[in-house]
Amino acid sequence: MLIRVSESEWRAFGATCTHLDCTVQYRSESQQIWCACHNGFYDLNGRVVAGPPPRPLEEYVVRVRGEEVVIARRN
Amino acid sequence: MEQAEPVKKGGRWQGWLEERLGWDRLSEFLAHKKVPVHSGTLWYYFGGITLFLFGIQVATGILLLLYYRPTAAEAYESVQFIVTRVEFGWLIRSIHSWSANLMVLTALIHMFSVAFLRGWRRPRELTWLSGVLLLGLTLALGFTGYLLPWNTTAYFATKVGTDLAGSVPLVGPALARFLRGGDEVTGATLTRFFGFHVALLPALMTALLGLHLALVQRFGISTPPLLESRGDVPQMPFVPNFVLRELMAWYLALGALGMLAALFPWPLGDKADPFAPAPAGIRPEWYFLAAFYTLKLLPSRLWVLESEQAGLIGLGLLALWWATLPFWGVRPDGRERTRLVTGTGVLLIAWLSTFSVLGYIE
Repeated sequence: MLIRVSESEWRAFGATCTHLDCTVQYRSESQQIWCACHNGFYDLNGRVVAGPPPRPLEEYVVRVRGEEVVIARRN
Repeated sequence: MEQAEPVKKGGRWQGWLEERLGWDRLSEFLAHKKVPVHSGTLWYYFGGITLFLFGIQVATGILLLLYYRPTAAEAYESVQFIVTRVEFGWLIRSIHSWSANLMVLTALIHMFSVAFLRGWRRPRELTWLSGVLLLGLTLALGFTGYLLPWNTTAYFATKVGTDLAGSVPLVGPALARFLRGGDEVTGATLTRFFGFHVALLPALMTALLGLHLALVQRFGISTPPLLESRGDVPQMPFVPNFVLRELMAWYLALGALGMLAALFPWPLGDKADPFAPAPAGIRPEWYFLAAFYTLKLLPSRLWVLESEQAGLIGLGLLALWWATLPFWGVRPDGRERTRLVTGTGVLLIAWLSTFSVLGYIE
């Protein structure tokens, strides 16, 4: 999932919950990432805020080149 | 040259069958078979009702097979075709789904009644164990069948269930890959689950059911120890008294099933979309709700274990503890651990019911 945090800042995470593999979603009202399966919450850095997920979401590197957004694996 | 003995008894056909099947021995056996009559006799009918519902599952499952297609591209549409275009297709599918749920319910009632009436005591330990395995197979049939319509809830339930299988110590990752037919839940998973659901699991179920029923015949129906100690428990003949009563119970079960299936047709939901997030309010079938809610409550880490590993090990140990009841329910000197057995049963029912309700309403 790709999130635009501010005008110039983007973040990308794997949308798979680290708990039991469900697909997570962005909740605009709380500005958190949420997994509906077992009520796991992550902040916009992908870190676990509440619920059973054991690890942060997998984060990807985002580079904006003009009109293009390029997402790549770390390393 | 040795000649077959001439037919002596009954008519021509009766004699012919007797000579080849030994029908007289069976009717002799049935004539002497008795069922204890007491205030808990009602509970004896639930095993038979579960068997009846299994029969309904086989019959309606065969009918659904006439139109169902087990691929990710066609599964949802084929079920949609069954419920909208096939004559009475909606009813057959609704009966299959409702009957599956009622079968889990009656199997649970049967299991707890056997536990509380002490039907697991020596020499019926294997009857209990085969029954617990049958419940496990019933749940496996429920889990594999749930994916077959390829809808959203089924897709995520399968993701969660197979990911949980991946947490089993040592063999977990290989097991999850085997169940999924790859790293993710895809059409390959659907095809596998279809095979498990219509061939492998019913075959295992039929074999184990044969063993379970043979053991019930071998040792007869158990009398609760309290009544047994008083002696002279009234009995009723199995044929025709108990059989006719059991048939009435089946008739009532059929009535309840028909009413539920017709008045509350089983919904189909939306087609699974692997790229969409899990929808809010998603939850599994009621019989997995207690486990689901327990997993929801666990913190990220419990000692050195991640939450899903801790949950799986905890639930696995609980199931193992319950399955081995006949072996810890009696002291070495032969006296029963009555309080421990009853307490464990009551706590298990309390956990199942409260956590299921909490899992449903949250």
